[in-house]
Amino acid sequence: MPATQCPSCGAPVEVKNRFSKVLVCGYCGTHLKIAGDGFDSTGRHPKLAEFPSIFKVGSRGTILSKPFTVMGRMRYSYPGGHFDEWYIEYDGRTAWVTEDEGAYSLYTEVFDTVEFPDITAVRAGQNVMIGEKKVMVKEKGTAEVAGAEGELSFYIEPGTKVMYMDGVSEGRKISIEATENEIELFVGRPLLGRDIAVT
Amino acid sequence: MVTDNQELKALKCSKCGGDLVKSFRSVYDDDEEENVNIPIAKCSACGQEFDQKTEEYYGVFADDLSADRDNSVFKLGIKGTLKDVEYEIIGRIRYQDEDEYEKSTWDEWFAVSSDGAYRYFVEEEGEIHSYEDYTPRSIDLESDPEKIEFEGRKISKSTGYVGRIVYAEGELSWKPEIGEPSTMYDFKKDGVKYTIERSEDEVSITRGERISNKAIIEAFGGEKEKEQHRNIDRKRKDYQKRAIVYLIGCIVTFLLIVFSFMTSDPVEGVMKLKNELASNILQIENNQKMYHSVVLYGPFDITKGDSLYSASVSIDESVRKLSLEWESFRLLLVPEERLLKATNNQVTQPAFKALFGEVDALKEPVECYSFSGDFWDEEGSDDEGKWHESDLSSEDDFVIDKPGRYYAYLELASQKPRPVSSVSVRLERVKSYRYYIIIMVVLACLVLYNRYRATTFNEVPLNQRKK
Repeated sequence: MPATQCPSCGAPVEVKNRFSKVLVCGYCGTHLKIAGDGFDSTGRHPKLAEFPSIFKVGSRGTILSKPFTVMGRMRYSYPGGHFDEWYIEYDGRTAWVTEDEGAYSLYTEVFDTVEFPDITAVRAGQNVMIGEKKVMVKEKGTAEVAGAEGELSFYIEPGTKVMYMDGVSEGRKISIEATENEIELFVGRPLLGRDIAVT
Repeated sequence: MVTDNQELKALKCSKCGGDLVKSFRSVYDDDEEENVNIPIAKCSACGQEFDQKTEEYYGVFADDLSADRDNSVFKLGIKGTLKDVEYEIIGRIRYQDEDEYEKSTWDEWFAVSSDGAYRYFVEEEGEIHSYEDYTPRSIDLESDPEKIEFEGRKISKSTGYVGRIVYAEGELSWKPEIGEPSTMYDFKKDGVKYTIERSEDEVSITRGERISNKAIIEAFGGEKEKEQHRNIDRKRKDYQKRAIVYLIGCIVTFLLIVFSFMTSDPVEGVMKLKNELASNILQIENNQKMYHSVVLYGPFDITKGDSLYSASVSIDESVRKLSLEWESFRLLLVPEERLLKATNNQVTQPAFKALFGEVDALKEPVECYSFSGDFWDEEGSDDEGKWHESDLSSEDDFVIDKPGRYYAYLELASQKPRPVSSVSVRLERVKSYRYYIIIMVVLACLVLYNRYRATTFNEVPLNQRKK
């Protein structure tokens, strides 16, 4: 997609990944829905506060020896703090890296068709069945979309409530996120510091 | 994300909102077998009591449980490099074991590396472990009410304990509340330490590795603490050396005890002088014939007092075998001074006969030690065929308080006439090992003390440092 201008502030913006659906202007913070050859401005939001992280939008390197480029970031806040989800181009595909309390997880598989448990009713420590897999619920709660930056594969308006449930099954990490309109299941694996190399 | 301790809410009475104060409750302690006072929080308005399993309790006692919070090498804002990664300490949470009335705390120091990775340093009883998130291959907390399944291993839920937050400071990844509980399960698997921490909202699984205090002090300590640590190492090595020396002493003493126990010192000349007072006098008791003999051996010298002796009375088969018969004996050990007093200094056979003829009727016993027994020789037959058994000797231990000259009075009753000399008497001093035992106990205490000091001696302010 060719480089163009932010319809809000006129700053140059560029969409780099063909699967991206949202671009956040790095200058004015306006969220731009990518539609055909143009943008729909959805609103201006404050820039995300910076906390120490090995990632930033545009950073490159390898995860588990495979190349990645950070395309964008979603930040969620909850009563106890916040967590970030980094949208990355990873080894020719797209994936998400979550960063929560200093721990990183790589989610490469996303499902929206499996049978989900009612995450409003589950509690931490409980076993739930997702498909044919037994999952232990590590955490569940409600977060709020705090903001975003860069390019993203979907768009959720800041302030939107998201229910989430994190679990573990057979050494893999399971994460479910649900809004009023959508529910998605992410399957991934934990990352150690040595698994990530930012160049 | 940022949480200051001052922001933690002050707890009020959950019943009426009144102020909480420190108080105590008197309860019966089964171990102490008496009433003891246990600390509680109490509402000054409505009198509601809160024990250590309530958040209100910690609202009142949190300050007491965190009074020594500065007693650590870790400080907020301090930086240190471990395994080539630089960390900055940015926050801390202190927990108290809710099963303890006394202070039983541990600190979880929250550190961030220069590249944004986080890590917990848990400081407990002087040990420091570095923890990171862990995703197990399998885990099941709920299927078994008694046990947790963790990667094929069963962990008893009864090993769990509850920690309550009593202090928090700096930056944390969540907002803690004083008194907030978490149930913890600590265990080792394949030599690696794991912790499962379960709160109402979250299950956290972490894997830890022990970091030596030396590494922590080298990384985070100042020059003064590093010098102190070197001094500690020197002193601990000294204690270790002393413990080894005392241990060697302990082993040597033990060997002496064994040697003393196994060896003896015979009393010479017990049977050298004898007065045969009676020989095979026929007596009939209950229509049974028996032959009565009496002999007084001595005097002989016993040179060591306050010592353990062994008396052995046995059939001397070289004189005459005991064959399908029995013989009983009574041995009295008589100090010469008592004997002389009882006989008015007459050392004659008639005087001895007169004395020992009434020996059981004397107002003051003449003997200082008495020992009785039987010898027998029997045979018969049963399902397994013929048998032949005999018991030809008896032994007994006793203590002689005073050294001096003694007599041995031997009274014999036999089924058949037997020579007095067919029964021999032997006395021997068992070398005293009681003093060695005392020395060994003292040395063992010194070993334990020095070993303890070799691992616990501390000058560096690591919280409750042990190792």
